Amino acid sequence: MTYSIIWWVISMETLIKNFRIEMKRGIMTLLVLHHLRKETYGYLLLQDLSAYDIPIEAGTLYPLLRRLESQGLLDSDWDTSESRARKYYCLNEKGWHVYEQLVNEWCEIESNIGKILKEDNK
Amino acid sequence: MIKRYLHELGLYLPNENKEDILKEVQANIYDMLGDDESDENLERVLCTLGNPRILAQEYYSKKRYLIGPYYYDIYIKFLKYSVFIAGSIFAVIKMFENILQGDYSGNNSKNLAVIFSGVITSFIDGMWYYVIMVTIIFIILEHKNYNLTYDEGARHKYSFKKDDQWTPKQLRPIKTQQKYSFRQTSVVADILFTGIMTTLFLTFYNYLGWYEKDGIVIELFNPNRFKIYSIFIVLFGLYYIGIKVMIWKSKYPNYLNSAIISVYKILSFGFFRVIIFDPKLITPEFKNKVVSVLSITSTQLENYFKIGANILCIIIFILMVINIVKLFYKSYINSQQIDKLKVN
Repeated sequence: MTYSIIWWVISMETLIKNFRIEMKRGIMTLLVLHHLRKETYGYLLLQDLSAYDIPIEAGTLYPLLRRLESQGLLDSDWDTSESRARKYYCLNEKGWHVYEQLVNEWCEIESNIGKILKEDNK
Repeated sequence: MIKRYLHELGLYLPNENKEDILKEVQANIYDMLGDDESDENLERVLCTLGNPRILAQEYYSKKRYLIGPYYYDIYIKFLKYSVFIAGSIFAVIKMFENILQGDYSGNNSKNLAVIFSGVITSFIDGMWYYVIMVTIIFIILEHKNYNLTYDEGARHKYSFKKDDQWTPKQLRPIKTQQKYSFRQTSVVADILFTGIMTTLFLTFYNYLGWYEKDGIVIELFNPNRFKIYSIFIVLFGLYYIGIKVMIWKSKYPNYLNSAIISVYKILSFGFFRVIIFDPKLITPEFKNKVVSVLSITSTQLENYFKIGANILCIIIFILMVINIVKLFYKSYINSQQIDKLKVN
């Protein structure tokens, strides 16, 4: 009875959903950092990512930018020169360092996973 | 609709950078709208951003996983306002159970200690059971994707719907009122309760006392002394009812109603202090009974009583000062809010 209740609460569907969210969140941070090597603002970044067929929800991207900024990886500045004010974000020194580390990590993970999957498919 | 969206988003955002986030979200909304500012496009854009409560949760660095963003705030508020009531209900049930089942023919102080500890334990247990039950209910609601939605046109404006699709129609209207308001829900109940309790107290005060098995009662209050105070009790009751009516009519704290409430609090504190330290209010027979039950001397009883009454008065005084300061602070914030509205 207890096990069936636990199974009911933590269903397979929820588990997969959570895994997917966690996996996407990690990759998304790397992609966003990659695009922020150049100064850009939220909506433009959203469009850039969509152009690469990387769907990210606006409601996820904008807060992510804020979180990266609060973690000290980004510098930001309000541009009020045009009729509509926009907040521009860009990698700072710490952000560049983290980005380069993550790229190295990603390449290593990709290579290792590729090897494992190839071996299993033989 | 943008204003309503930003207003609702602002309700759930962290205070420290709320203004900046709202400014940025507004800029993003206009960017996403482009040149097409039609209602349909605006609705599409807001749907893309999603439920403001969920969006606001994304801005918090710490995630809350067990109870999701749809429910977290409601869950916390629900617990905050009702957990003590649940604990009190358990405590009262335990108290009655002890009184009905216990043997008090000996009239010793141990029995009182047993009842007291049982009541405290039940109070804490009751709160725990309640927290666990409410948490389980909210986890089930979360798991089953029931969302608390607002529909302006519906008979019941707030309802639980099993619907993952949020739409801007669920945005709540912006309240143009001052920031702080009086709680209106219990005004009628408070007035009725005060009226009934004051009447009952003044009519049946002589029933308060020590009851023995054979029905002999030792009265708690000295009737001659109590009659002097009864007129003040009536006046305070009327003053309190007047305050409640004033709260009901004025709705928001301002300097005038805060001053009236503060005067009531100070006067009633003074009155309470006079009553509690009046040596002639409690009958000597009752005091003797307490002395014999607790197996202490009358001097000890007086000393304990003085210490207890002084501690109680200090606590009440501190709470009163805090309440008065809070009341005037709210009045100040509200007056600032009114000035802002006038400027806008």
